[in-house]
Amino acid sequence: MLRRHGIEENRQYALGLARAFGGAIIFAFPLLMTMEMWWLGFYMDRLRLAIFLLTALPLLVGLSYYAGFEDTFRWRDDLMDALSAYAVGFIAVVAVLTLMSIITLDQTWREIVGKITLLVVPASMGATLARSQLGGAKSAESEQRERQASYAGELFLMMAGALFVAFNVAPTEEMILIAYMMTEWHTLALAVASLVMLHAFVYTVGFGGQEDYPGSFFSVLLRFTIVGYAIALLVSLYVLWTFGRTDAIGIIEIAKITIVLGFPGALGAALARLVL
Amino acid sequence: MSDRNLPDKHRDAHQKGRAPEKKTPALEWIASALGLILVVGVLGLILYDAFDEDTLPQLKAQAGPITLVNGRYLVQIIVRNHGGSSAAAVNVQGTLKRDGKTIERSSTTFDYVPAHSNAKGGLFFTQDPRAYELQLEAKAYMEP
Repeated sequence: MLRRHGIEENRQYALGLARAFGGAIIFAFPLLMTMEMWWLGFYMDRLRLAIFLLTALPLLVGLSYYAGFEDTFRWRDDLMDALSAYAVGFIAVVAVLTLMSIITLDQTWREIVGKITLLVVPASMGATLARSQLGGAKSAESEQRERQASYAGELFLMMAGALFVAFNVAPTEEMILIAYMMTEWHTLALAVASLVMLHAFVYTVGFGGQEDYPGSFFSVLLRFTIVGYAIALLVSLYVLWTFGRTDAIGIIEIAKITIVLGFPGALGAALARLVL
Repeated sequence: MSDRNLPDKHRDAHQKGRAPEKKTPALEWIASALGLILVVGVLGLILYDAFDEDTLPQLKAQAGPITLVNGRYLVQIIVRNHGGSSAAAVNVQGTLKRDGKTIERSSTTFDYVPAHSNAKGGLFFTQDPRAYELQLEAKAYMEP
């Protein structure tokens, strides 16, 4: 059915898909090989899992807009890219989990669907990011959009970065354990360290590629660092809630775990610009 | 790239004409449609699961084949969870009895038995379980 003049476009698109497949595996393999992820997949609250899947879609659309694995011109294309990234992530996750015998045919569909759904989110994010990381040719338009990203766009990218990095460690027991081991003073110091680190990245790396940081020291501190850290903490709290880590835990402990996870979250927010 | 070097002016004009409006490759439609089907399908399954009755774990241990391994008797067991919640650290105990008297005990702990799912394991006995009455019981679990 492919018309003759469509062959080249299809070939290019197939290349993009292959690149996305590689990206999905590269970005998701630490989580694919984390046992807490498989367990969470079947025992975590189903509604929270459904909400998480629904949160991921607009995130993929936004990421596709800034760094899609295909040149995108229109809103419809970004949505299509997000959906195809989901398909690629899904296939990559199923392939790897099957290879490693983490999903087998004698498991029930509930168990299999749970394991896959949770892991497809980081995999499809990886599929979307593959364009900016693996394919040398990033579209000039995406590049320009990235440079000219609005303030809201910058915050979106920080959120995506925070989610991705925090998500990589959030399922492990260690997050809870670290929070239990730390005193209130440790927690406070970690929060300050996260802020300083985030600011250092924002300040030296600069937002908008390698441009000068916009505005004075205090302006950047307030508009990017503080807000960025708040986003990292909110994302951390959301991920912890999704995984049921906040259930039946006192509010002080929740705050501590959130700050612990906020550390990689802040790192992700700071690095979002470098990765994209 | 090589296309541009072709002396085929007709083709050049054709390409230029289409340049502003990008044509969506058929493959893109296929990939996106597959993504949409997967999203809707997975979401449907999870929501079905979510609104399914959320009952307590119902654990039942059953004995499978018995084999002699290195001078000991291995009873393969399967634990089924018919309930709507997953169970962690599921302790299963096997007891060999004769006339109400306990001859031998063996137990194991399963990390997880997901809701509506199975987990497999085995218990070793020095006595032949076939010569006695074998009782299998899921004794305890933890909420994950």
